[in-house]
Amino acid sequence: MVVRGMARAFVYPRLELTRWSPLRRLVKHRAFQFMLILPNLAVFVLVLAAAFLGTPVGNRNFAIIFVWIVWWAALIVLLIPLAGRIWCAMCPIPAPGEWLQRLAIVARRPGRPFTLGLSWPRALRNIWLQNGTFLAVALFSAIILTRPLATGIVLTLFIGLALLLSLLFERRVFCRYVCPVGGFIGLYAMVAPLELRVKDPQVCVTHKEKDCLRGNAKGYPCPWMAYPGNLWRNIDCGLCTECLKACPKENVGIFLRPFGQDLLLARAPGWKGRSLDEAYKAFIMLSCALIYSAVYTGPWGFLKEWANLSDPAGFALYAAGFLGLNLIGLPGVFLIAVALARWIARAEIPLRRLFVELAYALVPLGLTGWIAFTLSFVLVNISYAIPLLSDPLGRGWDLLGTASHPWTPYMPELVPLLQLPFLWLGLAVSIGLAFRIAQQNLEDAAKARRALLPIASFMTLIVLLFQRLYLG
Amino acid sequence: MNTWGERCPGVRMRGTWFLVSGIGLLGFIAPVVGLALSLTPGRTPVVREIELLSQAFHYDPLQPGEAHTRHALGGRIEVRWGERVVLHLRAADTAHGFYLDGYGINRIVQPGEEVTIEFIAIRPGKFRFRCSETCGPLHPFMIGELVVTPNLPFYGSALGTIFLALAVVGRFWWLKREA
Repeated sequence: MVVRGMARAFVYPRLELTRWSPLRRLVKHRAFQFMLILPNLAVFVLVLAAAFLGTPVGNRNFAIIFVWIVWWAALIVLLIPLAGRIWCAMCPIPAPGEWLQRLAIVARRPGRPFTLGLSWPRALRNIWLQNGTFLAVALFSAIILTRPLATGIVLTLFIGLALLLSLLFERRVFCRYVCPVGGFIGLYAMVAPLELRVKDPQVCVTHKEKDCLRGNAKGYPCPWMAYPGNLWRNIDCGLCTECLKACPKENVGIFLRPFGQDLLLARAPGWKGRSLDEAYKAFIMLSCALIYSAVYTGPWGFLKEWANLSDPAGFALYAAGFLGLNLIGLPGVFLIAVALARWIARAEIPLRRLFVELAYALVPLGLTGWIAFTLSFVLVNISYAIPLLSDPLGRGWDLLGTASHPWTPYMPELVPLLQLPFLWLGLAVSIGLAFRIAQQNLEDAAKARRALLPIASFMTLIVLLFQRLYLG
Repeated sequence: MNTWGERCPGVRMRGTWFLVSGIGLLGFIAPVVGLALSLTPGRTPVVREIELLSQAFHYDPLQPGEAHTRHALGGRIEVRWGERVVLHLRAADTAHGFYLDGYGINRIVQPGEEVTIEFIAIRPGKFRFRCSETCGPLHPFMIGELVVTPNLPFYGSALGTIFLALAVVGRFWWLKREA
């Protein structure tokens, strides 16, 4: 029997990029990840210096502009949609902890790692903690995104926590289970057309040594605690390429593929299936894109004051509304839509199951919603970066002669025209995905078609809400 | 059983596809037409005077003579297409800027002074105005809205969204039924 959505040795077309020998040699080189991390680490050090030593004026400080505008825009608009978790491969935050754990930076050092090596608690082997850490950061975003010192403290906390966890626990538990950024990168990486996978899962079945899991002289055991033989989704892979280095069978590669294949997957060996923690991540991201659009690009001064902690009672209201919409409001409305879908389709599947399954259809819409929100402030504010190239700390320097470049919003009146295609693309893809997921879970296509009506209506309403905020 | 599909499946499929494509196309055309219309200048030379008080980190539009309330619901100004808008800009706390998207207007106002800005609302739609003078932590997010009604780009694009959703759902309803 063929189960719909079952992993069947990669039924979609794939182009193995690592068949091109220069690329293969590059990613198999031990210094590959270090070379990715090094420039980001240099920028990160500058970010921390600017955050702690530079001017407290946010739009004159390298830390604020380069982290929350330049890096954020690159991450959301380019890196995640096109290359999935590639940022996780080059992120400097877990690097010191990992290097300390390995007692090496580039080389494959044999022997016991420098860590207590505790196992991460089974109850936390999901992304609930990442949902929580993201909400905590997002709730205080008006402070963190605008005050260099707050940005510096948060980034230092991240690096400190990553270091501490690497000393206590095995491998990269910070990236896999704690990092607030890694959580949503993983979710949206499932859309990307780039994947690291095995070429033939059957080779892994017959290969008893499992070098990718245990490591060998050429590569460390997977820092993300994934087994490539059962790796089906980008959310579980940090693209560090250790397995590619370690595999003696040359059975691991980096592939181009059609967008969004991981979201079509319903069942696969070694994977428990779609889960509530990831479904909630989809809700949280979608809610936050809406809330941020209202708070940061809307005309409501009282919302900005509340988010800015100007008034404790106002902030309490904001926090209640923020968490309420994220955790209850949006999921609640979606639950009603799913209940309606289940009723219209006369489906037997439990409501909770269908709720979780269909929530994954919101992933493309959430990603394009974030792209639309990001576009709303990037073109307007990116020119703040130009003087900072000459004066990163806001100390009155003019290293490159660009320090006096004025704030210049680029084509701000055209931003809605750029946002619309992304919102429409997200809507179309999400409706299509909802139909496929409904087909996987309901007995026949007719039921899936009926179930699609309330879900598509929900998605349309979300896009209309975005449009109301951007154009209305 | 799908009997009509069996009688002449090819023709039916093409017909449905044309219908779905037509609806989808209309959805995309509507906002474009709305935006094209937005390029036509207005005709009624009515003057709208508005006092605009700027303070960290929002704008409060007031009718002339109206007392300022600290938590005004939003810095949103609505005018009719073609009206001559006269803004009397003041600053309550520190120097603020006023940059109006799409109009190329950029002025700075100091506390205690009033800057008058005049323009004709020549295009319908929503245009943001932003503080262009660094005024504090949330300065990049100090934003107000000028809505020139009728807001054709919004209504056009909202129609486009609905048509698009109908077209995508229709694709699964009709085409898959025939498959």
